[in-house]
Amino acid sequence: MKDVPRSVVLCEGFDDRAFLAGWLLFLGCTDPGNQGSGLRKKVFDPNGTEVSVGHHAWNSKSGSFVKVMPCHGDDQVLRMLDVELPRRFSERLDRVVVCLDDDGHGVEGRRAAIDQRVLKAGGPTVPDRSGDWILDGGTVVSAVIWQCDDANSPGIPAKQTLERLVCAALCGAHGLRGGAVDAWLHGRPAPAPDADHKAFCWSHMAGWYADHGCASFFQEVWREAAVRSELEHRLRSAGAWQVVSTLAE
Amino acid sequence: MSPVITRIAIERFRGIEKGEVTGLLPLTVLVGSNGSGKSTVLDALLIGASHSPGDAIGRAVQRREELARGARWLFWRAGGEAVLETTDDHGLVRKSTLTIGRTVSAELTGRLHDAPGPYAQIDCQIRIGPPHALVSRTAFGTNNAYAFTVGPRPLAPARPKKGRPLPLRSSARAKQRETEAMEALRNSPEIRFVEPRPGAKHTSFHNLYTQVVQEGKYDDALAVAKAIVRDLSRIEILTPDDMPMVHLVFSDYAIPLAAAGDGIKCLLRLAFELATRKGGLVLIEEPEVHQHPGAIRQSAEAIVATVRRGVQVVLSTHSLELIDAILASSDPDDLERLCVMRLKLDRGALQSTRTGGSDVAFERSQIDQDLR
Repeated sequence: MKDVPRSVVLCEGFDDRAFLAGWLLFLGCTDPGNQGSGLRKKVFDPNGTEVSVGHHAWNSKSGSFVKVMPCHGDDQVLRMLDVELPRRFSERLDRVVVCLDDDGHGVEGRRAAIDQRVLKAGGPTVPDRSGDWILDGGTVVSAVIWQCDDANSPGIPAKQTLERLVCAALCGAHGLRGGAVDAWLHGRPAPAPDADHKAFCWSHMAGWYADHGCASFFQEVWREAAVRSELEHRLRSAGAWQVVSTLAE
Repeated sequence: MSPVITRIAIERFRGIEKGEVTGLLPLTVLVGSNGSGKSTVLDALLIGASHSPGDAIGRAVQRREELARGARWLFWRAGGEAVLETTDDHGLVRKSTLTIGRTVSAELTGRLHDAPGPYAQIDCQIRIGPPHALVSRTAFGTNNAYAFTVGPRPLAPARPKKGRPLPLRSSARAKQRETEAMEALRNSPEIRFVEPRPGAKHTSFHNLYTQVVQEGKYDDALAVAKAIVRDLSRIEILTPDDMPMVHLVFSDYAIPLAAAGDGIKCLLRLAFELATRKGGLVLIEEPEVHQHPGAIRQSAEAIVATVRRGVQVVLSTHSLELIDAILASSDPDDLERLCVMRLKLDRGALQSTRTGGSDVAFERSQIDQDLR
């Protein structure tokens, strides 16, 4: 067992995981499972247990271990937080990052839900000035809430989610794409389902990122400097950039 | 329904200087890296909750047969005093204080027969409830052979107050307390330590088989064996060369169980041991040893069925397959009775994190979390 700093990122699904992969790579993290030429090897955490296939492991710039765990839904992210926090006593746990869509709950609503879990695990009643909760033993809990303050405009879904953030960044970098996405979605033959946040996002994917497929779309958006800059601007104003930058250090 | 041990506190016992495990349930799975204290917790339960603590101390020492003069290694840094305290779900607290010395009582020296030595004696003072005190004594030869006894703690000689005779009722009260203490000890749960690995000290297969048949559990044990051993028709004791031996019987031949592979022996030992339990506590160290995933599933089913019969099981494992198989064998009521306890030993300080059955199921099925 190695005494290496260990952090965990709890996120809702595979799209969040892909988005975080692109972000962490950009920030200088490395993938310990990547052997080059498309080959992968099994990855083990500092306790020597294998990182499951659905989880992503990262080495930060200073060599800390970071595991990104999709939990398949917001309720399950919060449940996993309940389970994970008490483990800080039997396993080194430096940082837990909780990623949730705003999804109509509002940033304060989401933070209140995390606050309850932290309190239940013996943490402080209020976060510190940076918005983090610091528990006994030094475990830091941080929140990343996916949302952006962009006005509703063509190509950007209304619901506050990771998809909205990404669509807004794409429209910010490529002004004409939003109108094209809107035109396609409104031009579908009836009956067509409501154009929800997923429909907007996958329309952007189909139009400009189809060669890498759905699985890596949320990672691919980080490759392009103009989109990256739009993402950074929004993530900084939401306070998320600082959280993930610290994770990547 | 026999009481369920819910807590064990440990001080200066083997590799644990101090720590406790709380929230034990009818089925508790201990996980953690090598050296995290799993075996020590099992030994502590064996001694701390046993209705025959002198024997339990001897068994705990004999589990490490390669360790000559092994008794002293039951103590943190091989000396001093160890304390084990258990609490059950009826609120009964039992405290066992172990000390080791080189003076061996004459009675036990005589009972050690041909063992070299004797070299040491472990005294275990047991307090069950506030007023009761008993002492078990276990004497060891240098080869870890042991003999034990248990009885009331000798009281310090009472001193009469100036000019007054000793009141008669004191001795009557002391006698009554002794009787109550012995009764409380007898009522402690029966504890069975199951270590399926070949080479461990075991009850012979034919004795276990006899118990299985006497308990009316032959069909259960045979079903477990049949699930793993192809074309097996029955299990029987045959007596080649006038030696009673358990045999696996097929349609046209039979082989001694002792000649079967280690995996089959481990599985059948576990199945036999579990089938004969009617209550109390069963401690199992790594039931998955030598077993194919198919056999691990059979073991898990047998464990869950045993817990349903009101037997408490505490087991240690490194096998995610065993945890998954236990989950697969469990219904929602079983999950209520299950917890996974992750242990960590940090310079003698034992720490544990408990995850309840439904959260264990959630983590394995939804999150694919490695719980070991």
